[in-house]
Amino acid sequence: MTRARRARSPQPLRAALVVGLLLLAGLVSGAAGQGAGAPAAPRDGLPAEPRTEISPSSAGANRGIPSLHAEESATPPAAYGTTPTEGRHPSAVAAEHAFFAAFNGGGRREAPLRDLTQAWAADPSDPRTNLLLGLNHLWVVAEGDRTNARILDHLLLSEVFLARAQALAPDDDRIPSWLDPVRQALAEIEGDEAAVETHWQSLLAAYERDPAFHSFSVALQAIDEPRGSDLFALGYRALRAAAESGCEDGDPSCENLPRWPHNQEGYLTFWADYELKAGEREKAAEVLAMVQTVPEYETWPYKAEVEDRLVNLDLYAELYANDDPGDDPPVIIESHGCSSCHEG
Amino acid sequence: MRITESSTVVTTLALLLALAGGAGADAPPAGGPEEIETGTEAPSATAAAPAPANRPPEGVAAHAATLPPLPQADGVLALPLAAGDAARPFAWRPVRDGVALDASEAGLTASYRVVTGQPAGAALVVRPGTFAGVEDLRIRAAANRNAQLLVTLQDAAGAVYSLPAVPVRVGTPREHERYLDEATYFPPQSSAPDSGGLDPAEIVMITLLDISGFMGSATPEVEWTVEAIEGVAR
Repeated sequence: MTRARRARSPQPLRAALVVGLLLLAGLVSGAAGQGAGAPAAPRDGLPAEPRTEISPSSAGANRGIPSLHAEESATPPAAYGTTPTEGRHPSAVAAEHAFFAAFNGGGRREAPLRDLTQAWAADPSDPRTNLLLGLNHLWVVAEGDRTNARILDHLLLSEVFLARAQALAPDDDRIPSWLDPVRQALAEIEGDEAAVETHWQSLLAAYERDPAFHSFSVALQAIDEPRGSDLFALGYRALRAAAESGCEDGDPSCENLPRWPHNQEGYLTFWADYELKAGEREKAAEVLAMVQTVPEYETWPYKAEVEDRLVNLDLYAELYANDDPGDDPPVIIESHGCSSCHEG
Repeated sequence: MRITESSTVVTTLALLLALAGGAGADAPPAGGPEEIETGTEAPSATAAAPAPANRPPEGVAAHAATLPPLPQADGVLALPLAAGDAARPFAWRPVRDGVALDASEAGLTASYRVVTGQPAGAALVVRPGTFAGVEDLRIRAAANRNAQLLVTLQDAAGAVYSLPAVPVRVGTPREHERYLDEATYFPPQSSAPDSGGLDPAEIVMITLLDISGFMGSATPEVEWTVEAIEGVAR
């Protein structure tokens, strides 16, 4: 599977690409072709049938919600939402608390960086500190000001600390979902197409190993592609397959838990956005209705996004259907980034 | 007085070029400064010649000093969107020719065709002290197509600070919150050095700028509506 230049970039401006890339979702503007190991070839650019119908009342509804959480790792389920303390520097524990307080509490994105960096200085070998520091910088990139070049500082630092986290915790196979897109974005800025391809392939390899977890990152990168493109189809299939195949009982990545309190709402709304862009209006409406059945929906800070889509479903379908990507409707993850799922 | 704030927007261009890795073949041409005129006739004002770029903006500051205060209610400063009158001589002004503004209590609508290499948007001059105590801005807006609105704040000395851009989208208007302590100095648009940080009490002009003209070669018709701009004091 090789990567090809995104087809719909009508403007050759790398600036526009780069600025547009600075989303958690769209860190890379690459496109992927089909090849060995890829999901089934799309029909007319869209995923092939069959589809598993999911309704709010069906058993297992809302279970297929793998997402990208900063705290899953090998932690026993009972410990999700807690901060490991054994063998860690006290400042690392405090910084982790500060990070999640901001991340889950609607706090300022840059607020935890000082404590995390100080914790890193106290113990640079702590993999969780490195991971959270890299993710905090990525959070700033994802939701920060894309018109300010200083955001690239955060992109660079995200790469540094995520790479260190990966080196310190090589068994943590979640990290490619964050690190590879960051590296792709940096390679894109540097005009290093070979490196872009390398990191895209790395992410796809991670996706092959763990489709449920990495589907989200693959889908994030493909949502801005033309809906007839191979990359969009790949992202669509990845997200839908993960959502419809369900998760193992107790899989924390499928649940709403304290550190990802609206995982289901965010993931399902993202899926609905995909369906609408794919031209599946009725399916989108069905998935949006499903979002509203999530028990925590009423407390979701972004539930207005669902209501907006339901009100404007026909308009949004038309806007996706025209040839002008400049008027495409908002996508939940692009509008609210990490906070879509993590803000409580 | 014709309020003309001749400023460069090279910063935007420069930062975009920097993001792009330099002014290569893909980048827009790095031409001379683009003027941002704060616009049309101001109520009860006398004509003044446009100031050259990087000259202290006596016009803006002087006009700002003549404006009445805008009161805060329960810690919220609601910026006027409707066209002013003698009692409330506030007026949003287009930043360049070709930008049409429709101002009403329901909102401020800007309509224009994107011009490559030029910003588009609107500016409002306010009396110094208007933003005193304000810590964040809440902007509620929607558009007919996707755009990023750069929010800049100019102080009485002529220093300009920018806030993280506000994305505007189709559909239901969305509210975005921007913290004033995230404002960063915006050098080429400024006619005064950075004083070390934005002092909200010194703000005399707020500008909403669509920088699509620097982001690509497409020149679509754009219309965005701001339903509310509120400053919140904590």
